Amino acid sequence: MSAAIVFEDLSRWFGEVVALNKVNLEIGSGITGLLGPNGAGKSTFMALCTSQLRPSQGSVRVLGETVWNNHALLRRIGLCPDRENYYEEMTGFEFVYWLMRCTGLRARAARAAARESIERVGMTERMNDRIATYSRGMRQRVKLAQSFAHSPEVLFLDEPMTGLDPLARNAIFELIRALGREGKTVIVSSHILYEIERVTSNIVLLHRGRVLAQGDVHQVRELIDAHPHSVSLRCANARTAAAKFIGEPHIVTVSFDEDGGGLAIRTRDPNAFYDRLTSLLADGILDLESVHSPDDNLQAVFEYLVK
Amino acid sequence: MPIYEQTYRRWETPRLRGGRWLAVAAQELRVARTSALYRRLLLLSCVPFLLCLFLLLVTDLMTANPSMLLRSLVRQVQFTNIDARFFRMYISMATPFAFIFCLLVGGGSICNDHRHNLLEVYFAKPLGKGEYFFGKLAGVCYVPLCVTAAPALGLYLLHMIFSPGTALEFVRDSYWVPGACVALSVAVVVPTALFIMACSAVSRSTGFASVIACALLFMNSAFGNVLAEVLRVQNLRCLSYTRSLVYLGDLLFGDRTRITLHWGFIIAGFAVLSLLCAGVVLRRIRNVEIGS
Repeated sequence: MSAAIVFEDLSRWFGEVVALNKVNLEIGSGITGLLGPNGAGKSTFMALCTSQLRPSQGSVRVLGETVWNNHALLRRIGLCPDRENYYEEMTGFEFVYWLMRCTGLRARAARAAARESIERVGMTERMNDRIATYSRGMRQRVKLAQSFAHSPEVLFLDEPMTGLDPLARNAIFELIRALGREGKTVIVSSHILYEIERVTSNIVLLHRGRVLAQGDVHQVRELIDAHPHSVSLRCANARTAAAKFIGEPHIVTVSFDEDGGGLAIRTRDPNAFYDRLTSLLADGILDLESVHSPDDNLQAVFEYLVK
Repeated sequence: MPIYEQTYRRWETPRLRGGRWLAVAAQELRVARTSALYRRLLLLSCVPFLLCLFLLLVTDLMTANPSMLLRSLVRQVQFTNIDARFFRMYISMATPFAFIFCLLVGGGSICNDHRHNLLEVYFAKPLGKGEYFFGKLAGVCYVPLCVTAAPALGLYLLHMIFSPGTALEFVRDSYWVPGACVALSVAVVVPTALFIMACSAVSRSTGFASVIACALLFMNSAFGNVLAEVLRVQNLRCLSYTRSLVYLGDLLFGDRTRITLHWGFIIAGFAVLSLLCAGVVLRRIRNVEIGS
């Protein structure tokens, strides 16, 4: 089966800034996660695939066709951009309906498509309210609805989970998985590995405009897990917490902050660590103020991979 | 090979062929309608029409029934004759409204889309940049033309209906008036709309675009008039956009004027202005790119 998206020796630069650098890539159907820290070139990747940008060099083909100025192809593509794109005075339904009209659907079909997609993102009750009254998560869902309302074959979702609460996030994860099961090619970008893991195991890692790795997410996770994972805790009883953690076999180091109220822990098994942390919290042993992992963002992974 | 679900409906309805600009135009009007100022102005713009309608009806009814009571009530008033000048007068009264509508709708037409990042979603759809431009232009021009050309044509028809006795004679004498009304309205609205859209394309907010447009028009008008006065050449007044419109109106409606410039120069001037402004707008649209 031929790849849905093909980048051939593709470069795109903005003045002296190289956003994508000689990228050769093939992405098949199903869901693919596009991972990379800020500035990696994810949005440029999306823009090149949706005819927003012209390649400076090389070519990009989607569904076997060149993208730039190919309006017939754009009917088969959906985009959910990462930036806010609304007129605040419009209702959610009007926004999706109007974009369906721009897609070329006739009024009745556009209305039905808008209604159905809004229902799928769980916004039916609020669809006739002005976008100005929506929360960030609601706006995100409406933006998502317009991307797949015309039933595109390839869907590009640029950081679709931004601003969503955990419940809405789960609903969107499920929606993306459902779109993938329907046979659509879905490209989801994010800089958070755990988000991507929830929807697919197939990822492309971008870093500084280059494809760093492509393949199964678990292989990448194993690379990460082989190296100690750092977690910072702040709690009232830091020394008690340290005593509880130090006995765990996966813990590599435990150190205190200068003020004694914080712990910096390095572990070889983040999942085991978080399980232990949860049980300590449930038992009331820890009085946790905050938990933060500098390795939660992909920057740490990339730093490891590029070394 | 995975077997995918095919539960989600695929929309296979006939698609519009080139009618997408209508969606853009309709959206432009929809956004404009949400402004209270716009709605109030829409009501206010009916005043010239109602005034002219009143004059027309009273004149026609007086002509039809010289003995009626109405004549005695209004005999002190010198009513205008319903001729080409009457329709020119209507368009002159409606022109400021047309200009303000162009300013209100056109001022935000491009810059608001930029500010709200809407070009990104527009052009991710199969919407051509030409369609977008034409849709925006149609959206900006629609109401101003409804305020100028449409009521003028309506008044013309009403005059024929209410003065059946002289209708044939009137049509024979002024068959060219509807064409002149449309031509002058288009000459007023389209270059103005394009000019304001160009101002919108190079600015970041509706207010700023409107200020730029007004300032440029004022300076252009002052420049043309001052130059004509200093050099004592009346034709130089046509360097002023507003004065050119007046002169074109004089030519179209057969009014006397001190300017002797050939009408071709005026049309060429408007065409050049329109093309320049369209070029600015299209250049701005074509340069849409998502920064990395």
